[in-house]
Amino acid sequence: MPRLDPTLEDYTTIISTNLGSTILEIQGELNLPQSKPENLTPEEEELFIKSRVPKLLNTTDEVVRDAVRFGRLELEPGFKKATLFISNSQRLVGSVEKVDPPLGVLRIVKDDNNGLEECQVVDVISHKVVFRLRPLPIM
Amino acid sequence: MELYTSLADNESANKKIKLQLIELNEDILKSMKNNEKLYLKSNSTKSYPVIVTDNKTYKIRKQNHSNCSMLMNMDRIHRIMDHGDKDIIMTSHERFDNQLILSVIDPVLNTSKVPVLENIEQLLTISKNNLTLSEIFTDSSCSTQQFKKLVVDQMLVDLNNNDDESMTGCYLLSENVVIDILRLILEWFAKNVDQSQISVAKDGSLESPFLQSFKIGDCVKGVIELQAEKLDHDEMAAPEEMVKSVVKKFTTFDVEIEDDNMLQKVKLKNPDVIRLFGISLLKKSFGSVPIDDFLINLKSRLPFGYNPDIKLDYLKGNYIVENVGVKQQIRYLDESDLSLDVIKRFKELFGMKREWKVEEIEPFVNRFNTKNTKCEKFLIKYAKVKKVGKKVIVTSR
Repeated sequence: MPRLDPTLEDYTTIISTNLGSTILEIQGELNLPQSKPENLTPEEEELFIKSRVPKLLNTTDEVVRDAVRFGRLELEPGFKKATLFISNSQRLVGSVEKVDPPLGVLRIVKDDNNGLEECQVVDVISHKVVFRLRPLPIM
Repeated sequence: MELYTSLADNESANKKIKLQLIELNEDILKSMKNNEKLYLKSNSTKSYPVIVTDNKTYKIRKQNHSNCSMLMNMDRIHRIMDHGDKDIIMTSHERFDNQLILSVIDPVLNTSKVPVLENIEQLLTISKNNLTLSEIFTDSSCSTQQFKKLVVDQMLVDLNNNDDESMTGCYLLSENVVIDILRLILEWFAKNVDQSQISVAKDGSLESPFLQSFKIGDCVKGVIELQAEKLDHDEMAAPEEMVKSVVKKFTTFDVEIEDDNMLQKVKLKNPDVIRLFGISLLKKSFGSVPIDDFLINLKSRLPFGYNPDIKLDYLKGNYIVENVGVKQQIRYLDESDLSLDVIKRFKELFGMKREWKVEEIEPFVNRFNTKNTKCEKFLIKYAKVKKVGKKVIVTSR
């Protein structure tokens, strides 16, 4: 799947920082495979993509990893309500909340030569999408 | 919008790049907006790291949570789908089960490696050190501005720029060394103030002539000359850096221009001078002494010609007044010698004296009043506070 870099226009259509970061919070844990399983059916194969590791987490030009789809997010206009559909049977209802105080994304890079770590606050997140309720069935 | 999560985000512990979420308070955000540098530091004698702005220090603590918090990153993929060929997706490459939280703390200067000079001559015998102020700053939990203040407050002197190449490193000055140098400074002030020039303060009271201001450069130069006149051949003179440090600690700027500008005008901080001499005298007194005798002794210890106002209040937090017969007596009591447990501290204080005035007990318990509530209100939690005539008395429960 060829990919394009997101444009600024894209960022304004969803909740994200100018660098395209968002925090999504779910109660409990997401159970996901550690790696992409082999011998998948064509339907299962559709759940996986090759995802480019963002520059935040990458020092080299292009690193690609397997990623699995775990849901679909729908935000109501005005971002008052958020719905997260997980598979075809469950949905979570949540909201966009203000993060107060805002959270900084601290990037810590280890220098292999001297063992020192360099820290940089690379992004500031002031809102997050939170799902606090139990999953509801999709009727 | 479809959401994905990377399958290799928990790959290995020795990843070269790690992301961590950190709470940013208003002060930190303001520093970032002003493009000021923030420093992450760790004091080798403390177990926690700190983040410092230009003038504040924040302790960093890890707060764990049980939520699945994902940092999603927007991406745009091109694929053939029913509804079009462009699709915005979000992918999580990092999950967090904790975030860093900040709490403001008092700055700490780490002087554990800095030798203390008990007298000037020790400079000749003490083993040399190569410490620099910059190294001490890196190893201290404090911001740049707080460091500058602590260096002066704790009498840390940097001799690395001294003309005499045999003098290197940083030293802490003991109380005795500070008093010796301060005596010379006071003598210089006494010689140079115009005793007849008594000005009127804003509140209408008469100001001591010892509040006249002088250029810091003239003062340091004058003190070094005075020192040279007074010393015997076998005595060692205090280096200029030490004189400058003591001048800085016991004077205040009229208007602060910039660091180390020798043309800056300074005037004596008389309460601080009295405090140092007073505490030193109290420490040397055995047990309690009558207040009148103590005040006479204190006056006699000050250099000839230096006659500032002397108030017991300047020694706050370092003494206790006791009624012995009809006379009131004073004795040394260091706040830092008392228990760090608030209940035990109140017990200790009432063990020494059954009744306290609010202003007397306040300096000994103030560190526990973290919410800065009115002292009387704070005291009610641990003691009985009652009015006797116009006085408010604090007793044990």
